[in-house]
Amino acid sequence: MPAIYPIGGGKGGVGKSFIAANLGAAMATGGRRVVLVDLDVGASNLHTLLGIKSPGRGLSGFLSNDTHQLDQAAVPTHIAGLRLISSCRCTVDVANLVYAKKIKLIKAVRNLPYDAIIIDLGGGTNFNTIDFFTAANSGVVICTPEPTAIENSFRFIKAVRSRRLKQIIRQGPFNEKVKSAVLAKAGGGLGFNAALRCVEEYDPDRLRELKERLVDFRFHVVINQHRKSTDPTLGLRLQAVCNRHFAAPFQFTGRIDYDERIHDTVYQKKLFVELFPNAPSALHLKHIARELIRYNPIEEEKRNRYEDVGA
Amino acid sequence: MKTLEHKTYYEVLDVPPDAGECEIKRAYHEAMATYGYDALVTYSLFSDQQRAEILRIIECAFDTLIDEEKRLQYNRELLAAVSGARGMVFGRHRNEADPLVQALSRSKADSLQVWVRAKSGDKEIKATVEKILGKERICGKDLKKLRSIFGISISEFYEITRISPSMITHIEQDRFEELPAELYLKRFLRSYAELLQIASRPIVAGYLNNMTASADAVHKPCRSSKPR
Repeated sequence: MPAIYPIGGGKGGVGKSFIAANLGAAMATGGRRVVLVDLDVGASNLHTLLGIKSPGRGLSGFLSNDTHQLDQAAVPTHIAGLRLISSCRCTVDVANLVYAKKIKLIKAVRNLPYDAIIIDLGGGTNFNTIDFFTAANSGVVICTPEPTAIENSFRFIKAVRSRRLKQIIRQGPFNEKVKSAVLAKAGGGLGFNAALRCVEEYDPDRLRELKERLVDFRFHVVINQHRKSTDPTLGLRLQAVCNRHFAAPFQFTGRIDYDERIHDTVYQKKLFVELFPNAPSALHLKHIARELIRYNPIEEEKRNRYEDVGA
Repeated sequence: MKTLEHKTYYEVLDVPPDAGECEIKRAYHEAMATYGYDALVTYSLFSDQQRAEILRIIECAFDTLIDEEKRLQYNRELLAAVSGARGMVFGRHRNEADPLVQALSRSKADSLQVWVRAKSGDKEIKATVEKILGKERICGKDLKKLRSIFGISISEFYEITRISPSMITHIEQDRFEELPAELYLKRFLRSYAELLQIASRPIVAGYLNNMTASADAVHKPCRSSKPR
């Protein structure tokens, strides 16, 4: 099973694509095979960040059944070991995938023959975004130190949490009373805490199992565009607050400093970690790549073969 | 939204049961900065009503724990409320087997690492660390200073390094007669350095130098015991 790193976060423009592309470059060192999957359908940018004008049919070929293996949709990038599956050729209606296609895509992503899969998700909290975010057992939330981004991050996290809870209850052997109350279509069913109370009351033997499944998913938080004026303890405080109030494992994985040169590299369609490998922000990106690999290691037997990230 | 109800005052402020005054004050400021009306880190997370309630609980917790008598009385009440529940004295509503608690304690060591790393970047802390590492003789007070500028309590130190709190205190108060054989002492000092992510050789050498010199000073009272 490859290590999957979904990059999400709720607010648009916080830097998800930028981070996904540069993390891909950082991880694809020392022999690792990494693929970037652009699931920000309708607003895909990964190919532009990598300076690729025509990334082939990409995802649209796979979804229209012209390409049978998802891996065939991948194109090489100028970085050895890093490939891209683009969605820039997808039409707008693909942004609202039907259920069957979505399941097919999630399955295919999970089986891609790479060591690491980085998924660039769009903003917002629609079901498709959330379902891809929870395709593996951890996801990365990108946030900037502004009230708007923090607000959207919390909204995203709550949406992920609710969706997971409902999926666990739908798929698990919970009794009918719980299922019908929590999964009720009218009014969107019960809220998170109300749903937990419902399980506690009507199916208490399953409560522990439910909680164990809920904490199975780990959130990694990255603070992007960190400025000199930003409170240096924001990340760790956010970690503490989320751990406490969302009752799920949150880890503050790192911050990335704001750097004016980032805009220039995007303008030139080049990667920041390549042009300025020793800049603080590049070192932050490499640190985050290392931390993500540490928590979600690439297959055990292969791990020792690889050099350190960014070597 | 889950708030702070059903938590003990220690849990509210996130301090260990043996926390000292400084630690409680620090924790209180931290809590106010986290839950205050203008706090960025909890923006949009609570309604005004919930937030007011949270701040009220934090004030109560601080008022109780910062006052010796009130704290003693509170401790007695806690013990009475949970007597008979094994090992749950200061976590009466926290189930030790709660999957989240287990998941969190696994990541506690990691988060302390991240915390220390984050603090190491601070200019003042860097300067203090360099100053102390540059000394030929490092006394217990220096070690204590290092530990406290990183904001790590003795119990957190114990949780990670497993050096008993009393041993940590002996080391920091230069109670040389209470310290173990050199082999173990060196190991302890190395853990100190590792936790704070600073060089261990100067710490070990500096502390031992001070220990030897102080022993000499007993026999040669005219030598000044100030580090060079």
